[in-house]
Parts: sequence; C-alpha cells; structure tokens
Amino acid sequence: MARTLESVLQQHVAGLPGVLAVLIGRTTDDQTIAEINYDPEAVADIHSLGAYASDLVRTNVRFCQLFDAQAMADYILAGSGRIRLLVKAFPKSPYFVLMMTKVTTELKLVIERLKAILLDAQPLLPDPTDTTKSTAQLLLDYARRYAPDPNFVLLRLSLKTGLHPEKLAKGHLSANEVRLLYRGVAELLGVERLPITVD
Amino acid sequence: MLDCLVVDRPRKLVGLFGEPVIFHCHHYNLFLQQTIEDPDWIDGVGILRQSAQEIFFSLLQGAFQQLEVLRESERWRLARQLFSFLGFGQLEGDISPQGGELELRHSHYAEGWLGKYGEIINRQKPIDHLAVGYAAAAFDAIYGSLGDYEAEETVCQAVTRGDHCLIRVQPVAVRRQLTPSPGMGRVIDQPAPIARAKTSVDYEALNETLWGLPLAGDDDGQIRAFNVLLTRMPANYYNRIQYRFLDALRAVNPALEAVGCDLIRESGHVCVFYTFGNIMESVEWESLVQPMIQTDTDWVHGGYAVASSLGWGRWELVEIESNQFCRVAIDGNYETNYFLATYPNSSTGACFFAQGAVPAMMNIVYRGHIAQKPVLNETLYNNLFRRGHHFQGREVRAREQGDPWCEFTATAV
Amino acid sequence: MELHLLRRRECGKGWAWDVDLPRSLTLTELADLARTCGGTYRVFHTLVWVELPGGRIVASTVAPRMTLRLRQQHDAILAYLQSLPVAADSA
Repeated sequence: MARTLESVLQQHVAGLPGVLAVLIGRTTDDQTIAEINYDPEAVADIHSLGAYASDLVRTNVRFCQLFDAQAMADYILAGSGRIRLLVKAFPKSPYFVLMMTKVTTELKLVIERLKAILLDAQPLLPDPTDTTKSTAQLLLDYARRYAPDPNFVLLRLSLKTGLHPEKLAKGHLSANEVRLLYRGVAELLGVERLPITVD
Repeated sequence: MLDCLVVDRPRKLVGLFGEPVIFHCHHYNLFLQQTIEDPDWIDGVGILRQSAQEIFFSLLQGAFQQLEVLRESERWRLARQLFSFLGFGQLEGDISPQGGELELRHSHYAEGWLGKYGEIINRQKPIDHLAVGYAAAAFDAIYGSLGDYEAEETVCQAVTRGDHCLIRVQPVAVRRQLTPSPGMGRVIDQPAPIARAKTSVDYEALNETLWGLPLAGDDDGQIRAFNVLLTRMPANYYNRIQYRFLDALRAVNPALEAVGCDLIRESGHVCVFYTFGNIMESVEWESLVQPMIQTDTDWVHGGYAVASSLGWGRWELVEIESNQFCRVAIDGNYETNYFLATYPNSSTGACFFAQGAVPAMMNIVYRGHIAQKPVLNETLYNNLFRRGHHFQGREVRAREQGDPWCEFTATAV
Repeated sequence: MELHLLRRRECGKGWAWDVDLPRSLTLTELADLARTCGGTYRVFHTLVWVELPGGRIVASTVAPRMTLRLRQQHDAILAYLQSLPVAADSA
C-alpha cells in the first residue's frame, strides 16, 4: 500500500501517550493537508488549530530573519497549563508539523516523533503552489481567526465593504474590492497592517 | 429618581418623564452600536449621536417640566444625576450658553468595550456617541431648543485606555431640524387575552419583586445587577437607531439591508444569551426564580418572567416543547410601540431585537446548558454556532403588519 | 461554617466574589452582618442587599450563596461568615 502523509503521522504517533492531535499544515494558505484528531472533544476544530499554528510559524520565521538570519527556525513551543503545542517547520518549505499533547507527555519523546515525521513526510509533501485560496479568502479566514464574534465576521465585513456576503464568501473580488476588504479586516482588528500581502 | 419611574402594570412597560425605559446590557449596547458604526458609506455615527440628542432632549425636557426645575444650574445637576441614574457613567464639568468641556468617567460604552474587547483589539475611534448626543441634548434643554447645540468627543477612554473621556459642546450657527421622541408611542389599548403555557413560574409575582428593586447607577454611575452591567435606556433610542440605520442602508445599498437586519437580530441574540445566562447564574435568580422552577421548560418561563420585568412589554411563553420548539407572544413590544408611531404598517416583521432574543432564550437553556452553570465566555458562545443544532427564530405574527400582537417561534435546526 | 470562594471577573470591569455557603443565611444573620460591618440591609422578598461602606453584598434567605461586590471589608465579612454555625437553628 502506498504511503500517505496520514499513514506517516499514524506510524510515528502510535504508542505516544497524551497525544490530542497531530497535523501537517501550510503557511501559504493556512490549510491543513493531513491530520489525525485523537480527541475531538478537546480539539473541536482542528483546521482552526492548523491555521493558528500557521500564524505562529510565520511569526517565528520573521523573528528568525530579523534576529538570527543564518540559523534555521527551531521548534516552537506554545500552550497552556494543561496542553502543549509543539510545532516545527520543514526546512525551506511552507509546510510544518504540529503535535498537540497533554503537558504530562514527555517533551523529549514528542521531539523524537516530530523529527521522524519531518524526515518521512518530506518526500510526500505536495507542490506548495497548488493552492486554491484567493487573497480575499485568506483575508476572510484571518478575520475569522482574530476578530471578535467570528460567526458574524462575514456580515460585518459585508457592511464595512459594501459588498454582498455571498460575493465576499466566494472570494472572487477585483483588486479594488480586495483592497476594500483588506481595510475592513484591518479596521475590525484595530491594526494598520495585516500579515497578508495584497497586490 | 426611582420615585419618578411609572410602572404600567397591565402593559408591563416602565415610563420615566414620559419616555419608555428598558434595561439592556453592555453586550447588546456594544453589538448594536458596532453594527451601526461599521459601514462608513452611511453616516452611522451621525445616526447614533443625533438619535441620542433627540431622545434625551425629550427625556430631559420632560424631567425639567415634571420636576419644575427652572434654574440652569439645577437643570444641569439634574441632567448629570439622570445620566448616572441610567447607568451611563459620570458626567462632570462647568457649562454656559457658549458651551463647555465635559469630563466623562466610568463610561458604560468605553469601559464596557474595554472589558469585552480591550484585550484583543486596539480601538482607534471614539465610542461615546450616546454621551455626545446626551451632552448636546442637555445643553439644548437647558439653554435653548432641540438642535441648538452640537458635541464632539475629543478624548475617549476606549482609545487612550486612560481614566476619562472628554466631550466638547458648542452652539451651532443655525439650529438643526431634529425630531423629538414619540414618547410611549402607540401602546396597546388593553392587554390581549393570551394564554400562557403551563408553568409553575409566577410571572406577576416576579414582575412585582423585580419592579421593586431600586436599580440605579452606583457612585460610578454604573448599574450592576444579576451579574451584568446594565443601562436603563430610553427604549426609543434603540428603536430610532435601528430603524434609521436600516432606512440608511436601504437608501444607499438596498441589497445589504438584509445584512443589517441579520446583525440587529444578532445583537438581540447575543444580548439574551449573555444577559440571561448571567441572570440565570446570579444570586438574584437562585433566590427569586429558582424556587419556582420544577421542569426544564420552567427555566424558559423564568427567563420571560424576568424579561417582562425589564420594561420590554408583555412577553408570554405560549407554547413550548422541551428542547425542540417554542412560541412567544409579545403584546405591546417596545419595538412596535415606536414603529407604529413612526412608520406606516410594515410589509415584514420588524421586531428585530425580539427575533434574535427568542431563539437565544432557548439556546442558553438547551444549548448553553445554563442549569449546569457553564462559564459564559466567547468560547461557549462561538461553539454554539460552530457545532450547529442551535435554535433559529422567526416572527410569525406582527403587530406592525396589522396583527393584534407579535409572535415569534424558535425551532431547533 | 466552611465557605467556598470563587473570584469572578465582572462584565465590563472589576471583580466579584461568589461565596458558596453550606446553607442560606437567616434574615437575622444578614441583619447582624450589616450591623457588624457598619452597613444597612434591604429586603426584596427572599433577596437581601447588604449595603456596606465598601460596596454591596447580594444575599438570599433561600439560596446558599452570596455575591460580594466590595472595594474593601472582604476579610471582615468572610470572618463573620466563618464564625456562623453550620446549622441555622443553633445560632
């Protein structure tokens, strides 16, 4: 049977106690391309988890470029008093692997498993340019991740931009409409610049 | 000031100096205002300020007349007292016919916004449009007539994160043509014979107890009760801003009027979900309502018994199927009282707050599992929609369309 | 009596303390609490507001719980509550 990203994840996570979720994500469009959710109660929305991790990776890459441009980005550790996130980017690639565990899971073991996944998954990663998301959709997704009242972000952005919500949701906007959307999202978040490039 | 409140028991309305006044929380106030501020292709801020100036002018003029307050300094003192009594914060400053600079402390909107959103967003524009309108209205009522003054917020606590806001008031060169409040509006002649669904909750006993609570702004001009931050707002402020907002959307971009309606419904939903969630977890509820509760449907009844004590009109739960469906009648809803005094009959149901409120009451009881006292936070609220299976509402009878009262359903989807 | 305390962030700004009690307090006890702490009390059916110089306590004669919204006097109030007997009739 041909190996897949899921089977790689499954193989290397097997037997590790306290794992809640593992995934491979992509920073160019915040997509999750492979995932295993071991605890759907704790991880209600695994795609949001991938998108937030994508933001962490982007931030870490910028941090490294600014303060230690020669070195490769290392592991990113995040989480709460009860759960831990460990993320590592594939070298010179927009892909990353994330493992979410209980804090009781031994960190050394998690790092070993992540290393193995990075090695085995590398040849299976799809072409990173193979993305279907438009800039408008990236902006909408970003707003849903960071604006308050995420379930009503689309409607609020419709009023902010003057564009019908169905049109916004489809994401096929003119350059001028994308600029309007960019400004609308920035206003919702109270910031001047967003980490998404608009032509 | 509490002595000036007039409870219209048959209609379950509360009047203050000729204006209907109702309780709402900061969740509702902030969401509704945010909706109206969002589109910069209409003058949303203008709608908020002007409506506040008009409605509060009527309230203040009524107060000065009823209490026979003639001297300017005493009128200003009363205006400041009223501002705090209603839960908007503290307004201070010296005034003259040439205008004045007022200091606003403990602003309901600014502190409410900082508490709700301040950790995740930096606000860049002032928020106190109601206080701006109130300040202009106070000057109008003290020194002149409606529309003689204008005001501007020059420092806002929600932006600076300081401890106060500043509002500058000045006379205008030419009086603006503004429209005073319609007062109590077109109220029902007498209560309709609406049969309540079977319950052990005694609405009328609760009404009497809650009407008797001396809920007024504290030393900071804030009303804290039932675990929520409340305002006792002239109902016509809400009515005027929501209907004018929709009028403006329709005039400029009619395709987006429905979006505006959806967001106003959501302001009602978020209001009831958080407000009644907090109420149902409060000592007040445990003391006054909980002893009457025997079944899960009584939780919903208890919610409406409280709702009908807030000045919103006669809210009656007429049909309920546990965890599935409910039908609520509102006889003389505050939205329709205003609507019918201001507009001709509507072609569709126009009680947008109630359209959101009715499904929210079912959602907090059956999807928020309020009896188990969950932590009422954004995660709980957002998961409600993310997981689906929530209740959706519809206005099925509308007084504004010619029916004798309004009815709303909430159905599990 | 033993108390269970929960510090809860209030809507808007500030904090409140929810105090779970082994039983509800009698009106006599609440009146005594008000007097001991230099305040007054008001009764609304089974709901009681204890008005103190440092703020308000929302209490009940039927629910074993109260909410403290106070700028000061927490220690004195908690000490008073802890000194109460577990059973009301032994007061």
